[in-house]
Amino acid sequence: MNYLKPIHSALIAIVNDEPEHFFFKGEPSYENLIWTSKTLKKPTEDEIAKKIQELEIERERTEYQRQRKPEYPSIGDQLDALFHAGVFPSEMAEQIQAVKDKYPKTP
Amino acid sequence: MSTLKVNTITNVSGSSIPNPISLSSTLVALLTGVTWSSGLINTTQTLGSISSYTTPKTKLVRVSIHYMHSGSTNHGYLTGWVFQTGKTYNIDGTYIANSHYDWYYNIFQTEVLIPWDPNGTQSISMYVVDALNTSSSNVYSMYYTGRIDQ
Repeated sequence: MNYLKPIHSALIAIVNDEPEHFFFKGEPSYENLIWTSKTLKKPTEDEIAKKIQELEIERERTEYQRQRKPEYPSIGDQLDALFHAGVFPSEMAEQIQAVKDKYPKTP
Repeated sequence: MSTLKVNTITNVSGSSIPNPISLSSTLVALLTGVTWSSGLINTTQTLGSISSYTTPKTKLVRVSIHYMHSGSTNHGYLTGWVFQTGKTYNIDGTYIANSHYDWYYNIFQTEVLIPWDPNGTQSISMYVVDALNTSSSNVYSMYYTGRIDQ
């Protein structure tokens, strides 16, 4: 989830997620950008626009990952299916079975 | 911007009539994307001017401190006094405390009232008592959200 404005996300990428390089006086915009970094040069408006475009392309490229994630079965269900398919190493399968035997299903 | 008038007292024979209180609400960004850290501890930072919004009758100003944690397993702390620029922070200001160490995504908002002198500087400041931030995605934002006039 990301509620940041595109210019803010682009600047975070430009500063490699190191805090304290900038903030905004008012709403996020290039005009309101206050550059406080002592080590990094303030990016130009064109450089920020280019980074916004790069992030947008990357977001579109990985959109399928965000679409798939909520529809996958839970990791627990996936592991349980593997256990019942008998594909776990015997030591792990024995540990799981021991827990199941200790707390049997309510009839 | 909306204005609501409350507490209007009708005339009562022989008694004085207090001025009505007027509440106003708005949302004006003062600073956004704030990731102040330990280098600013014990310093005063200007949040912004609100001279366009106050009136000669303003007695209290509303300031909202908004925190968004979006940087995974790391820190976002900001504690201090919000006050009218030029006043004494720990006498005329309001204390806020935020200490967030988290893993997930969170939004947290605190609104404070600060006493206002219509004849003073029409600007808001913050004296930073504690600040630590380890991700540019953990951001504080400060908004002017209204005033109380009388």
